[in-house]
Amino acid sequence: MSDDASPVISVKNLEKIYTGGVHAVKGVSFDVFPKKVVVIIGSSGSGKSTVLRCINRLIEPTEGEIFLEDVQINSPSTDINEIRSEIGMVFQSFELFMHLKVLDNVTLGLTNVRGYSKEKAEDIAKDVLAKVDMSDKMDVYPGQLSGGQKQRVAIARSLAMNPKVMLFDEPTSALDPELIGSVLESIKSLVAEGMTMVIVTHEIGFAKEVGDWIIYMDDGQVVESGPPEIIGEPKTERMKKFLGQILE
Amino acid sequence: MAVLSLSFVLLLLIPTSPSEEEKDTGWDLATVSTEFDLNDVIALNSTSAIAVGDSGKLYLTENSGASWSKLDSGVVQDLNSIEFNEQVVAVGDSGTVLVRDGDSWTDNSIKGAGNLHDLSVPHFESLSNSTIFVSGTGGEIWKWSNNSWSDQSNGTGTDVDIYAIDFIDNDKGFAVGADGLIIATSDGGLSWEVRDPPDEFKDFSFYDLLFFGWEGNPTSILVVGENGTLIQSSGTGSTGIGFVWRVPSDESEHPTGTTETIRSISGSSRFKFWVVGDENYIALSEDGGNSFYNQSQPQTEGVDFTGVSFANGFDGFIVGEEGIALYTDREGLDPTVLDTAISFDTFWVYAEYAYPFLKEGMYNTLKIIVLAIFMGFSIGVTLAVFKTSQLNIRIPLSLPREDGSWRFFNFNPLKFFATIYTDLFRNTPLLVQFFFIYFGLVEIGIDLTFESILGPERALERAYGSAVVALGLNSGAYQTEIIRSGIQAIPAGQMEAGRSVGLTYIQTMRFVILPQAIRIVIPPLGNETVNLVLNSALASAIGFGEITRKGRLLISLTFETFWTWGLVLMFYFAITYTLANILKYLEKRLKIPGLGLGGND
Repeated sequence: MSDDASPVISVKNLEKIYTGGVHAVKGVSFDVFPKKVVVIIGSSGSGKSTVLRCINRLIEPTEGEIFLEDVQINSPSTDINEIRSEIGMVFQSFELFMHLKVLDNVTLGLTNVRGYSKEKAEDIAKDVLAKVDMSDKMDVYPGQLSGGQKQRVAIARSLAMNPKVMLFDEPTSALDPELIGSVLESIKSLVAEGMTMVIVTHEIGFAKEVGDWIIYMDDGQVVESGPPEIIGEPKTERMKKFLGQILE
Repeated sequence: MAVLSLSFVLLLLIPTSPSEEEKDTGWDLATVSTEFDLNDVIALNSTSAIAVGDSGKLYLTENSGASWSKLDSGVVQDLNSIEFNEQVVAVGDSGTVLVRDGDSWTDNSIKGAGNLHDLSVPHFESLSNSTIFVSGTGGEIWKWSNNSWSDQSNGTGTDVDIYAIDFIDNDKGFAVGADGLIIATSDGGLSWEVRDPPDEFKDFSFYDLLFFGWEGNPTSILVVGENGTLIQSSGTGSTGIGFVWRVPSDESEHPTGTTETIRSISGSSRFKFWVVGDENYIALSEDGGNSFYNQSQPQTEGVDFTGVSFANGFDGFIVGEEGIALYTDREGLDPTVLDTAISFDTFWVYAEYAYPFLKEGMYNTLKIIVLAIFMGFSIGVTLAVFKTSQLNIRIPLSLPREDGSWRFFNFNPLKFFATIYTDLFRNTPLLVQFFFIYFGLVEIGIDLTFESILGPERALERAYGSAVVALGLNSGAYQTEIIRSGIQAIPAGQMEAGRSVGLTYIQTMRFVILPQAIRIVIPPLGNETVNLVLNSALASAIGFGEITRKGRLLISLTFETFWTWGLVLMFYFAITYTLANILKYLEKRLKIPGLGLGGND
C-alpha cells in the first residue's frame, strides 16, 4: 500500500478472547489509508466480523491498539461516542430503526449526536438519500421496504454523519441475489467518491473490483494480504481451498 | 393518631366501641381565646377558615380548626357575616364592609347604611372589578359594582330585616328575612318579587338560605329559620325556583327535629348539608332534607350556634356564642348513629341518592389512578432500563487463581437495586404495602402529604398521597418486568446500530430501544393499568374516600347492599372499560406500518 499518507485506521496486534474463552482474533495488524478500500474475506468464524466490530469498539478488544488517525480508539480516555460518530457502520441485517420513517432514521444521529437543527439535518438527509437513490421513500417505514432498499437507507444513515471511514459487515449476505446489485452499486459510487472503507464480504468478484487491499483471514489470523490480484493467484493452500469453495 | 386509627377500624366495619374518654362525637372543640360571640364562619379550603364576631373580631385557622389566631380587622363594630369568593369579604354593624387584602383588611364601608346582616359575592376579580350584595336592617340592600355602592332598598318592597342574601351570578339571587320574607331578583337587584312561603311559615323569621342552580333540573333552594323551620323549593323546567315551597320530608312534618331557631346552613350538594342553630343544635341531612342526623355535641351543652361552613363533604367549621368553635374532618358523624338506615322505594330513587357519593368516589378514584399510572410507568421505564443495563463493576475475589490471575465477581448495582425492588413489591401483599406506607412511614417521619414540596395550601390528604405512592410503587414493579421483557425482545443489533451512529447508551435507549419496546408491550401494560384501577379499591382500607369506601359509607347509611355494590361495580367497569378502549386505540395509533404480524389491516 502507498506510504505517502498516514493511515486513517491502524490496527496493531489486535487480540480478542471472548468471555467464554474463544480466541477469535490472534494478533491481527493492518492499516487503512485515506480513500482506499480494504476488503476482508474469509470463511465463517474466521474472526473477520470481530475485527471490524473492534474498530468501533462494538466489541471490546482484549489486547492490541487501534487508531483512528492519531487517536487510540481503545484507550479508556477516548470518548467512544465521538469516535463512533466518525466511523460509519453498515450491518448485515440492516438494523434500521423500525419505528422511525426513513428520513428520521437518517436524521436521528445528526440531531442528537451532531446537534444540528431539524432543518439542517433534513437537508443533509435528503442529500444522502438521493445519493443512494431512496429519495422517493423518505416518508415510509423500514418495514415497508425491500432488503436492498433497507440496506441503502442504512448506508445513507452512516453516510449522513460524514464519517472518516465506513465499515461494512457483510452488507449483502442477507439479501436475495436480485437485490444485491443495487446495494453494490451504492457502495461503488461511494468508492468513486473516494470514501475510505473496510468491507467484510463474501462477494469475491465485488472484492476484486472495489478493493485496493485484500486481507484473507482464517482462524483469527491474517493468512494472506495484498493487492486484489492475490485473489487470482493465492499462495497458501487455505486460501486456495476457501476460494475454491466460494467460486464453486 | 387515635382519630385516624379509630376511623380506620370503623371502615373495616369491625364492631368495636371506642373507650369512653376517647369517644368520637364527630366534632372537635377548638380553642378561640375570646369571650365575644362569634357570628359567622367561612371555610377557605379543607384546612383553613375565618370566623367573625362582635367588636370587630376576626380569627383565622390554618390547621383544620384546632387553633385560631386573631386577625387585625381595624374596626370595632360587630361583624355579622363573612363570605369567600376569590377574596374574603365581611360585613357588620353601621354599614361596615371589610375586604381582605393579604394580611390586612380594606375598609369599604357604606356611608349611611344600617347594620348589615349578610352578604353575597357573586363576582370578584379585584375590589374595583367585583359585585357584592349586602342586606341589613329595615329592608336594606346595597350593591357594590363599578367601584361604588348603590342603594337598592327601594326595590325590595319591604322594611323588615333581611337576614340572608345569596346570588348565583351577578343577576339572580334570593334574600330572606323577618316575618316570612322571601324575595327574589333576576335583574341584579333592581327589582325584587315576593316568593311567598307556605302559610304556616309566614310568621317565622328566616335566617339563612342555600341554593343550587336557578332553573332547569336539578335545582333546589333551602331556607332555614325560626322554630326549626326548613323549607325547600325545586325548580320546574325553565320557570326557576322559589314558586312552590314544601317541607322536604315525605314522612315527617318537621324533619329537623328541633323547635329552636336554625341560624345557618352549609352543604356540599343539594342532598348533603348541615344546619346549626340555638341550644346546641347541629344536624346533618344526606338526603336533601328528608331526614337528619342529630350531631348535638355533649361538650357544647346549651350553646347557640350562629354559623356553619363546609369546605367539602367532610371538612367543616361551626362557630357560636362566647367564642365557641367546632371543627370536623369526618362529616361531623358520630360513629354510633351511622346505623340509622334510610329506606328507598325504587332503584331510581336510591340511585339519585347514591349518585353524589359515588360521583365523589369516582372522582377520587380517578385522582388516584391518574397519578399512580404516571408514577408506575416512570418507575417501570427507569427500572427496566436499570435491569437491562450492562454496567458491571468487577470486584476482585479475595483469592487469585492458581496461575496468579484474579477472579472477579461481576456486580451491577443498578440491576441489583431493580431486582430487589421488583422482588419485594411483587412478593408481598398490596394491602400490607398500603398499611406499611400509610401507617408505617409516618412513624419514621416520611410525610406523604408532600406539604414541604407543595406548601400548606396545596398539601395532599395523607391517605391520598399514601394511596398514590403505594399503587404507583407496586404497579411500578410489575411495569418494570413488562417493559424489561419488551426491551429484551428488541434485537441486540438495534443497540449496536444506535451506538455505531454515535448515540450514547442512554440516547439509544431513549430514541431507539424504548419506543419500540413500549409499543410491543402496550397490551400487557394495558392489563397492568386495568389491574391498577382494580387495586385502587384497596385505598379504602386506609380511609381514602374513593369509590369503594363511598360504597361502604352508603351501605352504612342505607343497608342497600345489592344496589350499592352493583352500582360500585358498574362505576369500576365504566373506568376500566374506557381505559381498555383508550389503550386499544393507542395500540392501533402507534402501530408501525410493515412491522409485526397482522399489521396490514
